[in-house]
Amino acid sequence: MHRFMLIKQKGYLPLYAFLVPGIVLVVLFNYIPMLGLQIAFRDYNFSDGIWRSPWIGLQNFKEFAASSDFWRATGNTFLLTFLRLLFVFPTTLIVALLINEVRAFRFKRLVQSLSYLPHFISWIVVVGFLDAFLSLDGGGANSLLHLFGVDPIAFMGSEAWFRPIFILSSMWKEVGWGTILYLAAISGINPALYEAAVMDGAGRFSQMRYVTLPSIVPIISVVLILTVPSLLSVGIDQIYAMINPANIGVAEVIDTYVLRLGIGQAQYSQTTAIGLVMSLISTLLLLLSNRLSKWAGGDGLW
Amino acid sequence: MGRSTPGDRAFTIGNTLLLALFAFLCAYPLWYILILSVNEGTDTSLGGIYWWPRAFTLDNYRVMLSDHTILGAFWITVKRTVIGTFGSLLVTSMVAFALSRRELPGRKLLLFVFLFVMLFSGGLIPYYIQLMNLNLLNSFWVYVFPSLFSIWNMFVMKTSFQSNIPENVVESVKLDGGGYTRIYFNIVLPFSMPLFAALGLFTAVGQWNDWFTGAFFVNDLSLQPLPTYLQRMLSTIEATHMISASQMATANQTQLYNPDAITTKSVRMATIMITILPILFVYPFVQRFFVKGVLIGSVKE
Repeated sequence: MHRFMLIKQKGYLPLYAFLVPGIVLVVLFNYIPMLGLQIAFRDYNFSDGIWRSPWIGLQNFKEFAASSDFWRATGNTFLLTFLRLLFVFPTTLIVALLINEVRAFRFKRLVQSLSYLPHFISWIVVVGFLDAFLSLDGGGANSLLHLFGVDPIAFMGSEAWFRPIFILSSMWKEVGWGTILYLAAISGINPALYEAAVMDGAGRFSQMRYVTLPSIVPIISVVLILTVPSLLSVGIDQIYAMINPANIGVAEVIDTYVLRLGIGQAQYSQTTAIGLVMSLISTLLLLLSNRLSKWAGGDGLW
Repeated sequence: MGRSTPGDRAFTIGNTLLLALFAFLCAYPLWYILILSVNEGTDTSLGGIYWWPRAFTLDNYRVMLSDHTILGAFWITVKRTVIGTFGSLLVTSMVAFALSRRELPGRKLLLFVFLFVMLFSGGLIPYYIQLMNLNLLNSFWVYVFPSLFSIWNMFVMKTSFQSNIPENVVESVKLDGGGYTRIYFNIVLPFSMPLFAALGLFTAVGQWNDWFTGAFFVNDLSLQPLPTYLQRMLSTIEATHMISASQMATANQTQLYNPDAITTKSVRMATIMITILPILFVYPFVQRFFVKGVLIGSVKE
């Protein structure tokens, strides 16, 4: 009681009131679902709910571990996140360096404006474009191939073309946007460094190579470290829009697998077991990334 | 700098060409969608269209707009974007303000309560079951309530309040007998408008583009937002059904369009245009905010 009086006297009550909506929301949409994770160890049915459905121990885990679909989805997840990193990350860096070299102010603004735009376009729209441009009935790509006498290709319904399309569309959407961070870091470089380089006879390319690039190594490492937690999530928006029976073998990732099995086929318990394992791994990756980032001299995530 | 060697000039020319190509590639898909949306569908399927519409028509838009579902979907999307964005800024900034006050008793524990949800999640299925238990499935509010509080934005705001709200101003309000509520409304909110504009922009785009919630948590077609409508249209079988059933019938009766001009694909392109038009329209005006937004966000992202 004494403590409450003190809090009231100091005028802290409004501050606690400010916290109430936020706390209610994280309890409802974050903490209670965490309690729901226990159905990973139960045979969930709707009438018994998350607390009283029969306890079956590790059976759900054994089942998904024995499913070849699950391992295929896991393999695809790692391969796709790795490929995305391999292509998007260096391209972003190179484009940032090139944009930085532009002296014509208006042209630079134009390039930046156009390259940030894709970030704001939803994946559904991107795939809508791909569907139209790559289609068999009059799509631009196949019309072009036709001019060169190449037979039409069913790009969107093909396993072989899925990964290139996945990578190119990822690049389209995120490369331009990713340059913002690098360009901001570059604008903070001390101009004296460039003057010294010019004195030493460095041309434009050498300045880029020996001044700009080394100066932004810290931000590059931070960007790399921050991608660690996303190794498990490919981006469900993108995959779900692109996936179809013809390419499912290479396109199915853990997120879409859980979605298809969980919500589509109501296999709540088994997909929650998968979700639990993924959550634990994500937590580890986040902790690792935070530790690495602090170790590299960055701010860390929190 | 002044002097330029032949090597430098070659570099400039090469660089300009490369970036011009890059900028072109960024813009071309949107242009392609636009020209297909104003071209007769049957003509489009003959192929060979790259730069300009060959058989200009607005019938795709007429057919699309003759469907009541899409007007409803547009309205749902506008509503959720407006309510979701302002609501989220309010709730999130209130939490951020409270946690930014170092003198608040129990602050460490409260911070941990919020930090923990960033670290660990219950995953999709338990979340889905919780929505079911809260009766939020098949309700408009499923678009709003779960996104009213954003943990990332909260940490960005808290950091910004801590470093940008001058402590002596806060003290002087307190000396005048003003409480935290007044500090929040009279100081924090006006001081943070640029930050709110930046974060609000990203929240709004996220709301506008979100098709996932509508596709998996809402079955009622009249409650689905525009991106979800578009997502259903992308699956060809459904698209044929959607268009032939509702639109073709009404439009045919009233002789609104030339039936040859329409294919599911051409109507789909018109629907895409309606979905991205608002974004394209506000884009030039908000650019100055989002560059700032990324930079604040990057501190904690």
